[in-house]
Amino acid sequence: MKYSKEELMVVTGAREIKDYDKVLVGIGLPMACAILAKLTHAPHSVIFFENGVVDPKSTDYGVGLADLKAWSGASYYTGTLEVMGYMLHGGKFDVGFVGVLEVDMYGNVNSTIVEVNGKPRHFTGSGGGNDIVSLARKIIVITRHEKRKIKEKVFYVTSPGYIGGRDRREVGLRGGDIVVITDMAVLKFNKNKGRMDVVSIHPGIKIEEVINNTGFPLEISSDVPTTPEPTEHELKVLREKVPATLYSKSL
Amino acid sequence: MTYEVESKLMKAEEAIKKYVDDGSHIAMAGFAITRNSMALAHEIIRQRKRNLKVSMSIGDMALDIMVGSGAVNEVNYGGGSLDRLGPLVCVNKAIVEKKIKANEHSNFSMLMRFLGGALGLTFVPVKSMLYSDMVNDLMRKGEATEIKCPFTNEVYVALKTLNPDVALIHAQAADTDGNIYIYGPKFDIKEIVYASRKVIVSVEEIIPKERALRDLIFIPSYRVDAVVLAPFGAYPTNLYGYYYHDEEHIRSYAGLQCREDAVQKYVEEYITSVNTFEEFLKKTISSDKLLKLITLARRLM
Repeated sequence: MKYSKEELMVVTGAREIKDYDKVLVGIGLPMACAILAKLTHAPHSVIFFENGVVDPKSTDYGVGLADLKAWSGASYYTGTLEVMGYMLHGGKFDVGFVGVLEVDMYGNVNSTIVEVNGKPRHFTGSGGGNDIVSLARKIIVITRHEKRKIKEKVFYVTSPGYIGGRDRREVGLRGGDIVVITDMAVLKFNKNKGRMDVVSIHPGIKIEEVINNTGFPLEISSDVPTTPEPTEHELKVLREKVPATLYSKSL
Repeated sequence: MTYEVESKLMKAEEAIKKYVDDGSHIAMAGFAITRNSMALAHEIIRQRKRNLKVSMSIGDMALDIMVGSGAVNEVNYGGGSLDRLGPLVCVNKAIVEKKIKANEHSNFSMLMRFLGGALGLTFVPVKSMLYSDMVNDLMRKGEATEIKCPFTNEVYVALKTLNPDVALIHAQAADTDGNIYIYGPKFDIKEIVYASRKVIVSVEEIIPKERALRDLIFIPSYRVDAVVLAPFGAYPTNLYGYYYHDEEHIRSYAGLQCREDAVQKYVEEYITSVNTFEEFLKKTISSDKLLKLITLARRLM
């Protein structure tokens, strides 16, 4: 069965979610991952928004976390303290998704400010992003695979990755593993190298393409695994039950 | 017969005159394009308050217009946007051009600064923001420092707590006793209300206390200093159960890109050339469109 790169990214992200996981997401491709996981292998997982919306079941998620369409069908409304405090700071989130302007070889994330033609340009800022990266058990970063997005060093550290190439728990962070899912590959932290490294390359993508589109030197062995393809069942559920607006235009 | 709420019921004009001065520290609880304290923000702009400091967990459209109009010189916030309808153009521009002092936080760090203030603590420890450029900046400004747990030696960010002069909240309803009802997600409203010295709540409607469920009261009347009756007081942003946001209006605002002349024109056309928020509503939105926004919000409950 043929599939798009966005569909592969959604399926790859969804597979990082286990049954019964508590998942903190925003609107967009991450939400598609969370919904797909719930409708396939993780029916007991629970979806949270940072503003206190729990377990929404909508058919149209609108323009973001503040859109009433995105809250529709929620099973519970609470506040930020309960979601970001009792749950996230309290170490009870298994998976958190974040969007990024840039991510670097140590997993540092920038969502605040970048230089465009030599001039600083300010964007959204942290929101709950820093909290998620600092505190969730597994952090999933979804981004397009481009040199200007996957860099040696981010322009501004909104959220910290692997400090000095060390285990994050050793330096006082609660946050666990960072997984970067792009339209070309999946990257995770490599303890021996002290930085992010490719763990699998998507079907049809050449090793050189990944190397050429990454802003820091990568060594990828010729026997690097291929990212598992979506199953027919996953694609069927994704196409029939997950709103396409969440992921079709997010790259 | 008189109702208890009447003792603190006032027009927006009176509430802002009474509780907001030049240089006041204001807290707000809007979130991007939902539940903005728009009626109260308009009144602040109309009264040409200056040098305000605004603290909020997630920046919203009300903050952006206040910054664009020149009312604000310092912002404590945890990032923000108009969701996918646009960025906070005026806030972003003012930060880059250094027209305001901006202290960047994470969402939860801001909430903890309010919670600590509400509890009467002078600082709060958090794990958020460790090793980030945000905390480096806050440390330079004396707003944060790194500390170790006296028991386990674990490292934390210590944040100064906040006690704003006045909180501006927009709620769905007050009852005739002056208690406040918040429907839908609660954001950081409770923490802001208890951290701030004075509390102004604008509401969509006032309901008879006999009709209200006591256990749904979110802010008790004794914590509220002013109740302002402001139907559609979050417009053009949305309010759960009451009305959907006006996408067209918000997009056109974002489209101004905060160009100086364009923002001035917006402020003049919609805020300073009218006397009240009701006049702004009458001028800006047809009853047909309003009905559509109301119907959609009800359907989404």
